[in-house]
Amino acid sequence: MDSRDSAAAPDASHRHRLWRKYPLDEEIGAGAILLADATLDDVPRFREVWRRISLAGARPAPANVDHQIVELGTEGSAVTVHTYTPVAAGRSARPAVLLLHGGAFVGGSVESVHGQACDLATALDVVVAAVEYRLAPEHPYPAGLDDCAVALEWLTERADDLGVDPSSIAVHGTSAGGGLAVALALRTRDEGGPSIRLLFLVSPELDDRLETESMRKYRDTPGFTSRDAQISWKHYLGDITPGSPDVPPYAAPARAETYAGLPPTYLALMEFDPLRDEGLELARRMLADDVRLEVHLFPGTFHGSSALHYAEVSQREAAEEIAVLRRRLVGGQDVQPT
Amino acid sequence: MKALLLKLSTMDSETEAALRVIAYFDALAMRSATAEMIVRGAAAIAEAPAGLALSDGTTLRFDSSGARLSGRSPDAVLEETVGGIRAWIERAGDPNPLDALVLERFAIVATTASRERPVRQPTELSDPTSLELILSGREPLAERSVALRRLGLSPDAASVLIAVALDDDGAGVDAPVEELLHQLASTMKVRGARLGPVGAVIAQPNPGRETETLVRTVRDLIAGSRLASSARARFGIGVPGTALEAPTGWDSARTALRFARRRASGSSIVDADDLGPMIHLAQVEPERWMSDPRVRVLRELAGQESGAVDLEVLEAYLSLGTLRTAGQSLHMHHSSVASRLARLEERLDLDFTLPSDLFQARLCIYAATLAANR
Repeated sequence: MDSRDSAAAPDASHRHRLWRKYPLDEEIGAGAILLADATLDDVPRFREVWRRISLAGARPAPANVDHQIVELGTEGSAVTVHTYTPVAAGRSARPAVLLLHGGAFVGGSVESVHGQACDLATALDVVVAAVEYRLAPEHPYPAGLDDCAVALEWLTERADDLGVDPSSIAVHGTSAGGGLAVALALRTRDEGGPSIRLLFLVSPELDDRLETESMRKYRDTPGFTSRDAQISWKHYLGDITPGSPDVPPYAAPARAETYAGLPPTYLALMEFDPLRDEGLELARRMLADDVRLEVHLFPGTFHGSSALHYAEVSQREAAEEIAVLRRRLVGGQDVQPT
Repeated sequence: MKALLLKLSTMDSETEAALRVIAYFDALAMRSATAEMIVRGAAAIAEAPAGLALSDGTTLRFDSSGARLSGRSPDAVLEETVGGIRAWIERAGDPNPLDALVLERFAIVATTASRERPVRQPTELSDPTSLELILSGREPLAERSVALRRLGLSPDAASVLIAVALDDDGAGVDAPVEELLHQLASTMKVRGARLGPVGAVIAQPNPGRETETLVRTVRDLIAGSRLASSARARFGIGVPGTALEAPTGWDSARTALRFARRRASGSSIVDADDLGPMIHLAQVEPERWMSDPRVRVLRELAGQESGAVDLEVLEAYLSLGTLRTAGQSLHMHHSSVASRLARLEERLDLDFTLPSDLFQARLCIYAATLAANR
């Protein structure tokens, strides 16, 4: 289809030599060769590669999951939400997971998390709502965040129709989706929006200032580089200059003054990821602000390395995701300090 | 930004897919992946269950999601046997065009794998108990085989053992052992540990590399490295053999180490193979050597600053044959060489123009060294 792809493999072994300096997990390090290569320098191509691979790996939702596509009309635009509802008769109101995909604010789609949504719905017996939020650069901040807020509100208001328990909603975000998830939690807190039971974050993209040690150090890591981060923020912030004092906390949640009052949070970080240290900083500050937090840095991993789903460390990551969501949403009551 | 897994079945060109397969398995080998990782990788890339039967009878099976499967599937349609291990892909239905390539790379790379997790940084010291186990002639073969695999070494592959010592103080030997591991790691598989006062290093050629030149490569790497000039480090290189013959190799390495003389500056390397029948001199009781007056003189000289230089001069003269070449090797004028040799002739009551006395001198140096390195 694309002649540039044919040249990708020799290039892959070149990149592998480049990556040898990172003591990646053996399986993860070798597997990096199997990942699609698309740079953020070329946004249309980046989206096309993601779309093509998502479609190639796609399978229809299993028979025990009802997949619906819902258009939420709002003023001037429409947000699309995909719902994944277990069909088995059981509880009338299930917990829900609002799923925010990754893609550096410029790419990715519900297609890219379709498999994950089906897995979560069946493994946990929960309703998954995956948001097709608008992407930069066509739709810079706050378009994507507004869409996520609309989706969360809809999920809460229409809980009865959707078979959702509105007191048990997790917001789940990976990478750029993780940044949106924290921003959404901050905005919900400040504006008195729907309650969030759990904030589930994987390698969240939080800080436009790009000054952390990991951001400076990981210029050529597999999965994500400091250059990718730079391009991502430039597109997402639109007319606002990245790194300037004008960047609002809802755009870059690392700039929030306090995290006090945020829901209990789970944070998964990857060792060789430029975003690692802004994640650790979020963890440190959340704990200082008395947010209930579980944090896990997976060794030898890189940004998005869980795509190598068969690897041992990826299996641990996936098992923990299920265990944490189950513990918070399905099992037992949350114990809050008084 | 590259966060999505490509599937071979969806790649645009078969050439690209083939190159990725090769690069992927090469990378697994290069990163010392375990057998489990290699089987999981093969299953994932083939999008079908894959399995491996190792020469010790262990069977590993994983499906394409990375889940471990038990037992041996009856309908393994594609299999390949390489070097005592059997690798297979359980393809239901028509084979994929790349199955043959995947299976071939899978089988080859699997031969390089260890069953257990390998030492992550080969330049770090290994667990001494594992090293002790593989070097012990009293341990059963099966135990040593398991320990070798645990260290990421192949029991059947050629190996060379190196014994390392640093003066009398055992604790300091970690540094030259680590340096040696560092020197060798880029060219061969190495593991090392400190066993009491002596450092033990085992080296194996990387898969596909020649085994004949292993000892020479090891010796050249030591001689050409910082180790050669690091004061007082001594190295004994053992007789090569398979890793399961490591106890014999280790004995000869330790014996060779006894022939390595402590130097005032620089290191000393002795290869067991080079010693020939002289290696049996090591069996003589040190007390017996010390009963000889010339040996006692050499021992005494070794402990003095000027005497140690005299010994260097004598050794250089004995191995190089002329005043001029000995002087050149020590950056010393040949007249200084001559005056130091004259002093030694007097102390030892020998005449270095007579072949029989030269032999005496050489034998005395060995004897003094063996008496010092017990």
